[in-house]
Amino acid sequence: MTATATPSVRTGILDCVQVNLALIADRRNGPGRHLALGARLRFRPEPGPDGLPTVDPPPEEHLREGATLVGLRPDSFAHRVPARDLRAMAEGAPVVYAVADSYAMPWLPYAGRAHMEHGFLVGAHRDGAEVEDAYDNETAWGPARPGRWTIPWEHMPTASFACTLSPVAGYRAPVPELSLDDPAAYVEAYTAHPDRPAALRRLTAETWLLTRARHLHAAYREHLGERLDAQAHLRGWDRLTATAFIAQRRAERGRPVPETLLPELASLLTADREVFAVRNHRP
Amino acid sequence: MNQPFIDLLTPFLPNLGDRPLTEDSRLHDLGMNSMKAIDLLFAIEDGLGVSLPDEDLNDTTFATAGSLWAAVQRAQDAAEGDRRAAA
Repeated sequence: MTATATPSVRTGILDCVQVNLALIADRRNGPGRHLALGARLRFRPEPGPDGLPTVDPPPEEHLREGATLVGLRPDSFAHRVPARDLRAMAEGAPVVYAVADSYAMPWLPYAGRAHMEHGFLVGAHRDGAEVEDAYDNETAWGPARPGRWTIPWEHMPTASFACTLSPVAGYRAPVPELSLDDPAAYVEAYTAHPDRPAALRRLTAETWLLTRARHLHAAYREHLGERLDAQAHLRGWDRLTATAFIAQRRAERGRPVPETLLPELASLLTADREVFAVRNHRP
Repeated sequence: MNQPFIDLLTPFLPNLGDRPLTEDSRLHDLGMNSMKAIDLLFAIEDGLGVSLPDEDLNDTTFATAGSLWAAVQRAQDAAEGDRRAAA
């Protein structure tokens, strides 16, 4: 593995679909362009796994929206792309953006351990696939850190989808906007779900996504020159992510979980409206 | 700090080297991060038989070896008090 060097990209506040889109955005359009991925702060849960609501959007929808926000357009879009076809795409383009199952990604701690749709970049190297992945996270199986790896093509996963990304003309930085549903039904669903370990496993992922999205939105607003008083609120989200993970592991051991978890989640979601209220913004 | 606590804590501090662990030792400077802190929390629960209360699950508790030891002692004292009350 070699380190990947795009120091302008704030990898610690991006999810696994956004982070590699961010690399392309900043390399093509200059440092900071990727922060536009945070323009829209959204809390719009949809039905998800295990009968629980989720804030995790479908990866293709997430990629397409993100591309628009940073001034890129997905081209040569393909679904269910086996390694041989991914190789053909990579040999015909500077870089390909792809999403596949993390379980089959030998460069990640999730390999052989956890299934989730995960984005990465791939190019053609003389010795195989040149994978670049800027994902940055402390996982239950060790750290995932930004890097580049050369992987034999026969060890590459089948991509759920893959595309190239081209710049669009006439880009204008998106105006910050909020779309925040009432959190009551979402919190109640996690409170009442009868399978506590399953609910807390999902909630660990949900709080991780919610926290990163809030950090990213705050970073974008500050990038545009706004002085946003959000640090204490963001630290509250950071603590909540840790509490959710502790609750998950305690539930798996049959031990009492922190009682503050769900009330604090409700409180932070409610406070988002005030902390991030858009006031007289000029792009 | 007693030896079982020191023995439990040391593997989570990759930057400690041969230096002695003292109550003032700052855990973050010795290589503790948020994920290791959670792993340590469960090592304490599994190895020392105490659960830290919700109000002690914070950066202040995990700031130094001494602050963490104090939290563990409080939890041990509370558990002992509960056992005596139930007897």
